[in-house]
Amino acid sequence: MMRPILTGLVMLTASSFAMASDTGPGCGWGSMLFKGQSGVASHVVAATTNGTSGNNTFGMTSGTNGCDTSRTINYTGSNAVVFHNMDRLSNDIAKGDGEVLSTVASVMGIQPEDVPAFKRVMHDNFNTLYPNSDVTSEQIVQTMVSLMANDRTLAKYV
Amino acid sequence: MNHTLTTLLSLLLFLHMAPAFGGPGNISALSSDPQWLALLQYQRSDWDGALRSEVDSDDFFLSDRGKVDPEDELLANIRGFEQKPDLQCRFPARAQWLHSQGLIKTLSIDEGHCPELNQWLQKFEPEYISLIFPAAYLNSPSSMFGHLFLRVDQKNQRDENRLLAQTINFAANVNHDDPELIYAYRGLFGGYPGVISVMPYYQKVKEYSEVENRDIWEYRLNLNAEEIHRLLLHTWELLPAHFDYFFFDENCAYRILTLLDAARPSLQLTQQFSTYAIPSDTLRSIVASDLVNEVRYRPSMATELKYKIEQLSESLHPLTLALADPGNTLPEQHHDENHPAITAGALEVAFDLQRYHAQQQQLPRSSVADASLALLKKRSEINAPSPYRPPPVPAVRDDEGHRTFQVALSQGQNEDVEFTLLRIRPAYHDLLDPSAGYPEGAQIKFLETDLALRETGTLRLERFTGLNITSLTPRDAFFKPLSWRVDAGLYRKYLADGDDPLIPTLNVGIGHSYRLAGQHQVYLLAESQLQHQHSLPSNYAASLGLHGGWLFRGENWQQHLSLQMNEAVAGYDHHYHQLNWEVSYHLGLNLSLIGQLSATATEGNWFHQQRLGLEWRF
Repeated sequence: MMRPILTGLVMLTASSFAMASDTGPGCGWGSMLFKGQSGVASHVVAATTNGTSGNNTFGMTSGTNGCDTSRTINYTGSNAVVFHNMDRLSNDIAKGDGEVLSTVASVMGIQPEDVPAFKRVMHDNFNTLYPNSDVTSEQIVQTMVSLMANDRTLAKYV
Repeated sequence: MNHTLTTLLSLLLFLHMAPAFGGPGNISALSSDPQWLALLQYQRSDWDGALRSEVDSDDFFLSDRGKVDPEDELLANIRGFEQKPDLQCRFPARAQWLHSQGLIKTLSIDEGHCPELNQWLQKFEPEYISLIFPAAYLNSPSSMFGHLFLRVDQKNQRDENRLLAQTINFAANVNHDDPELIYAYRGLFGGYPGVISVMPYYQKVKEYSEVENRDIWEYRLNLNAEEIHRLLLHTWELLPAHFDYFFFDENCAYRILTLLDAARPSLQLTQQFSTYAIPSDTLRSIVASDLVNEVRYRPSMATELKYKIEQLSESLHPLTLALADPGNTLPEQHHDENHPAITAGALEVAFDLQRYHAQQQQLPRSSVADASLALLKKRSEINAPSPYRPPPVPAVRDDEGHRTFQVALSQGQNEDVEFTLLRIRPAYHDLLDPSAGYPEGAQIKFLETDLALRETGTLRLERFTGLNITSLTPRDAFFKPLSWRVDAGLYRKYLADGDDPLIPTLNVGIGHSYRLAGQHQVYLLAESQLQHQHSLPSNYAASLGLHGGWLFRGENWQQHLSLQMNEAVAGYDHHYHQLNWEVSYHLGLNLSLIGQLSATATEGNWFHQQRLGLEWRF
């Protein structure tokens, strides 16, 4: 009789001492047994296709590393920031401001005095940036660059 | 007098010259230097007091005996670095220290001979090191212990681009294809290797704040430039290494302490945590070591969302809920009292809520993506900033709550037999403990042991809770989480003959909880119970029942009234109902008065128990 209890205890103890494998969402112990899933680890799959496709807006599969720390995403700079923050970026642009939008401005080298213009241009062109929910991170970065090129204040950055 | 003076002078001369000689006596002393021990991750074993390195990769050591012999390892490193200067690029922190002690002549990193290392270092541009603490989230009790990792804050970093800083994180490299039991077993007993990884902060924020809904506390440390450099060099040394990952002591929080000790060996943080390391406890000791300059709060997406809902006018709640449902298309814009205008505020909450539920329920992307985009499109047509204020910083941080080790002494009566009770609870937090700094409605108890000295002169194990995890998350119009409880332990059960043997028991319950006006909370769970012991008729009992309760949190006191009703469905045919009332009055954060009354009805008999006592937390 002790064995089922012991197993139960082991599993429950294991889940309660989580944070062990916190290299990605769904990696943690708690998230495996107690995130409302039926015991199947609900981890996010990294879209590591060597940069051939960014992930879509609102993708659940938005580029987090899963639990395999040996895999790397082959993006740098603004591509990387956009790739990893698709949901939040679209939200920030719709609102006209936010931490991720500010971070993208920073990584694109926009000077503080031009950042409000950058945010305004992106907000005003939301539909151009997000024509549908399948738009990828590369497309968004390209659109951002072309929007900047067509703006008097921001053209100097591209 | 002359003789003494000569001896003194010779001694001074020797001490002054000693580093240059690198003589054997010196090697021995240096091999027990805290800096050397920290860099090689040596810890004194609790069992035999011997030094053993916690790194489990062979190529971390240059000597065959390196794992257990610091002196041998030191000699091997000196030889190795002299013979093969490129080896210094693999172990730059060690090389730097040995060079500063005069034990090696040239330092490769100074000579610019380590291009890979230099390229890696360029990622950082360090100004400060921050300790990042993702805190607990209710309904994920596993998160209650917290996690720790480091962030390397860059020169000229601003608040707006904090996300770009690199982080240093330690975690287990798990294999998701392992069946669950293997997963649990390997995790507990070191089957998964722990590795250190470096990645931008935005990836960690996404993981903790967005996916796991955990608030994050950022503690800026006062490590100086030299210490930061040493920490980075040591991180480089550890990148290819792996550690056998044990939950109880060698987990993430502990590994971060080893990095801090390597940066500033005088801290000796790892000395305080040899048997078990709860991240929030290690955080306390870091705060107590005068390492912290400044603390920032980063609310999770869930916390922000809840606070936005509080700011959202109630008249807009139905509209917002309708907007959040991905099955609904956006309603036409009416402008009369019955149809409030779709405001920016309503759209923002609707979007956040929709994304929150999509994440929680792991909805397929196709079912929600278009609806989410439609909400954003509508929001983008409004030219106004967000109407919401950010959530306030909690008055009590997670590392400022009550301490986790609890001892209680009480006096009571069990069916007319007086007893004195000693309770020891190694971890972690009870529903009756002060809730400041802890998620409300959550409880984790681990190895709680009650010893009773009874009036009859006998000393007995009164009860033992192996593990109790309770998560009572209130439901409302916007959030509908489940409440649940798991309890495994040895509990005394009153039998018909008046005996009360200790019975191994497993309870699992699931249900709902609601918050009432003020600080009241009620819950109702459907529970199943399994018990097995030879004194039970049929040797076992399987029961189903209901478990309901009422919690109240006052300024200085708390109470919990609960009723459990169980009916056996197999084995020992009986019913077992228990009414339990517990009260705690807090004399301080770590000292409370406790009282308990319970009445049990089973098979036509009534049994009573009560006690009154004091609790201390360390």
